[in-house]
Amino acid sequence: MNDTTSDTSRLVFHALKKIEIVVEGEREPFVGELLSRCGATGYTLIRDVAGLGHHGFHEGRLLFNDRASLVMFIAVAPETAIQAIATGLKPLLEQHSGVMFISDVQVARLEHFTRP
Amino acid sequence: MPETHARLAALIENAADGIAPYWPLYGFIAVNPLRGLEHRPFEQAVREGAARFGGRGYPSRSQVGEALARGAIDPEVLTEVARRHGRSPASVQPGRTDPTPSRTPPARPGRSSPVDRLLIQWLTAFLDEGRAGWPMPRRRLGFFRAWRRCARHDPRIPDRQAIATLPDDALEALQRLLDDTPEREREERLRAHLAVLPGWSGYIKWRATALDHPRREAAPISLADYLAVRLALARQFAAEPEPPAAIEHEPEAPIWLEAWEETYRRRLIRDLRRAATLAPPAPTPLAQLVFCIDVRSEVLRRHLERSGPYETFGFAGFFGAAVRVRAFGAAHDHPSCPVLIAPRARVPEVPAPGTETRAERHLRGLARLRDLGRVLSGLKHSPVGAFAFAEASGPAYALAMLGRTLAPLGFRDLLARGRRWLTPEVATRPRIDLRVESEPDTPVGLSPAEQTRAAEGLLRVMGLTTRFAPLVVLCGHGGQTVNNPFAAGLDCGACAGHRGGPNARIMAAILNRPAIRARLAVRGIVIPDTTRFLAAEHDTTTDALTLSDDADSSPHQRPILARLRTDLDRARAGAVAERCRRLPDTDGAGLAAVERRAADWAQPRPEWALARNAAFIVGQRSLSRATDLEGRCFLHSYDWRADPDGAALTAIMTGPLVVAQWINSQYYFSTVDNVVYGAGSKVTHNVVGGFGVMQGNASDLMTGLPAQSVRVSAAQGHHEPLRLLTLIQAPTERVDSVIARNANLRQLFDNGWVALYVIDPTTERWQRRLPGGGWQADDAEPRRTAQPVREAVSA
Repeated sequence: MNDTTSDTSRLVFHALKKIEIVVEGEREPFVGELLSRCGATGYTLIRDVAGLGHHGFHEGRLLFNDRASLVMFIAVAPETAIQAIATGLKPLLEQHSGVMFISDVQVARLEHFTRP
Repeated sequence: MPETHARLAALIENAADGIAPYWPLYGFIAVNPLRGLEHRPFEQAVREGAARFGGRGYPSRSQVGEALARGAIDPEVLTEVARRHGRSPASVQPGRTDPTPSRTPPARPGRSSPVDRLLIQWLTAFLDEGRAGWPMPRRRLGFFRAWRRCARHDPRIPDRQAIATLPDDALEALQRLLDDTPEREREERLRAHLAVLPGWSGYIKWRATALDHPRREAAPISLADYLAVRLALARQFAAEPEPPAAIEHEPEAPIWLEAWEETYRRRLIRDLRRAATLAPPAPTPLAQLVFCIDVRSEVLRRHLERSGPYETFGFAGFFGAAVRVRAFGAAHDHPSCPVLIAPRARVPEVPAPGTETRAERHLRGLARLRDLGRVLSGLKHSPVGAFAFAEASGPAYALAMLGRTLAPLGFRDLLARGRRWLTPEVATRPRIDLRVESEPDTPVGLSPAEQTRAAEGLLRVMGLTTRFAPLVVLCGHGGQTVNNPFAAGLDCGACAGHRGGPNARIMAAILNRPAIRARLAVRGIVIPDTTRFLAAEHDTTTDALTLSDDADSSPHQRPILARLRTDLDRARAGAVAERCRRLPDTDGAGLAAVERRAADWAQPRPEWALARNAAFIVGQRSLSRATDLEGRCFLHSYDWRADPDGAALTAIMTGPLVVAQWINSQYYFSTVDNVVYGAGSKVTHNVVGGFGVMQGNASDLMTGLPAQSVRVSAAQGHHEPLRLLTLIQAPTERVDSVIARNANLRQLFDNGWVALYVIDPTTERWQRRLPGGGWQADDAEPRRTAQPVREAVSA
């Protein structure tokens, strides 16, 4: 127990921003490229997302249609990158279904989330 | 990427919304040219289409006059619809129309601009897929960068120095080129530029996201590249896009369309209702045959059902196998599933056991053919060799031309014999099982769990989970044509514009596996040991149905197969005779006539493909089996009793229904404006780069269907431009629940792109869905009637 405690105590947490984006499946290529080009080193992508929003209910897990259901991106990056991503998403979300949430997070391995 | 560029990227994405993606000709995919406007009501969308692209959105006065004259519009229905809209019947008559329009439709407008001309030439060079003898250099850099380096040598550009000073990055260059445009006007300016050549914009939109395109790295292109070049040229010539010539729809046009649709709807519903009450129950089937939902299947299905004890089903022609297929000996694999879904795996076709020696000879022959092709192409393109080549090969080409023209069938057989001699036919089998291979991307093969899922999906969605016949045949389909850039348009849309035979073979093999059947049994689907699945391919041009080469391997099914083959011949003769009645310039009505069309290199219309499609019927075959649907209906099997949670109905409504609507819209708009939304006449087509056609040498890419695919002649139409009518046999609340959970469906039904009818088996009510929700009882004649069926079932 003592060893584990001492390991954990050496961890340093770094403050970063997290962006969660839910968009129509059709926008997946655009958002993926935007994240990469704005400096996100990676992202998590959840397909077949269901939910209720301004445009009504959106079903997920459609057997024969990958485009109609929603997808969700989760990316963590420094604030400047998240700022650029959010700027690129704003005009899109003004005209299409989707949401984005930005929050503060902390990570242990900073080098995984920043570009040299 | 800085924030300004991120914002600009989003403006491009928004501006391209109204542009429908265009798939290349070799994987022809039908798309609604106004797909980006489907979030608007139909009337608004066609008005916006007129303002943006200069396209007409309703049938013309002469088309309506023609439809009235041949009874496709009932004058009484037109009167009713006119009154409903507060118009007097006299005021909506199309009046005297010129039945023989003398002029050929003009080419697409906007082509005289030097910006368009230069842009098209550079695009043609950049996007070329192996046709050019001298390819554009530096394509690997991307369109904008490669163009920027080459354009400095183009004397047609007035100020080449200015091009050289543009930033190398497309977004950065575009940002600079938009400096003089206020921020709030930028999106609209980009939209206007994209709308000038919607065909090229649509192709680039598709190409930019086609991750598996073989030239994705060798010649990458994005809409930012395209717009940067376009705006750079616009600045050079001080030429901003001008709005297209105004299109004024007649105020009566929506009334005409409504009356035309209502005439068809009333007749279809009347026939279905009458036949449903009089049709005798289907006999115990000797065999069950599953066809694609394609409207062309209906004709053969009907004739086959009337030839013997067969039960037929409809399912999208990929049969649930969402795969890429690599044909034996092919250089690349191809997607073979609807474009709405991403292929889950690659399935190669490999030689059947015992055919290894032939397979080697086949591969050696293929290599020789490819070498020969390369040599001939090199000689044709060589500035020096071309003259000698023409001299030396002229007589051989002249003989071939004479053979093709005078004896198309004989010449085709001669070519086939030569090909078989060089590349002997090899029996192949799909290699289905999952394997680990070094190539990354798509996995090769399907795991047992994936195979089970695909098999279960196929059986449950079409409602075939019990009562299996001893033989179940999965029938893929493809067309047959020569010298036709639109050949893929005759193949299966559910297989991304390819032949459906490989998918049928994959699923038949999976469904015959004892291990998969054991897994299905655990999941409640018990397939008897005596049932065998078989693959086949329906040639829609000749209506021949070819069973797979292992058909006779099981002794139990041999007597059934013998009877099926005889009945298929009979059904084929009937189907061909029926189709020949509708095909113009047909030499006789027999098999020879359709075989000749398929082999004729000058035939612009080997078959009618999906022309006259008008409705999508989801339900049990008993609903439509006794009715002659004239090859106009997509038929999807569905058993509402076997789908209590609505999962199968959701799959059908969000998949096949959407694909049917894409096809229907493409036919609709190609018919109401063949120049703007269609591909114009085949006579003046020029194949470009291997992926598209232009009219002449520098036009927009022609994206829709050629005139010959929708009209008999300039004076006589064939396809009837009607928006898709969908009839679903299911409890109303289940249909409501599916719609409530899918925004895309609400959009299609609420905005008038698709009309929806529900035939509720629990209440026996036929109801129409109103825009925005709610149902209205059908006002057609009562259900019980003693009048005869139009075409009775032969017992």
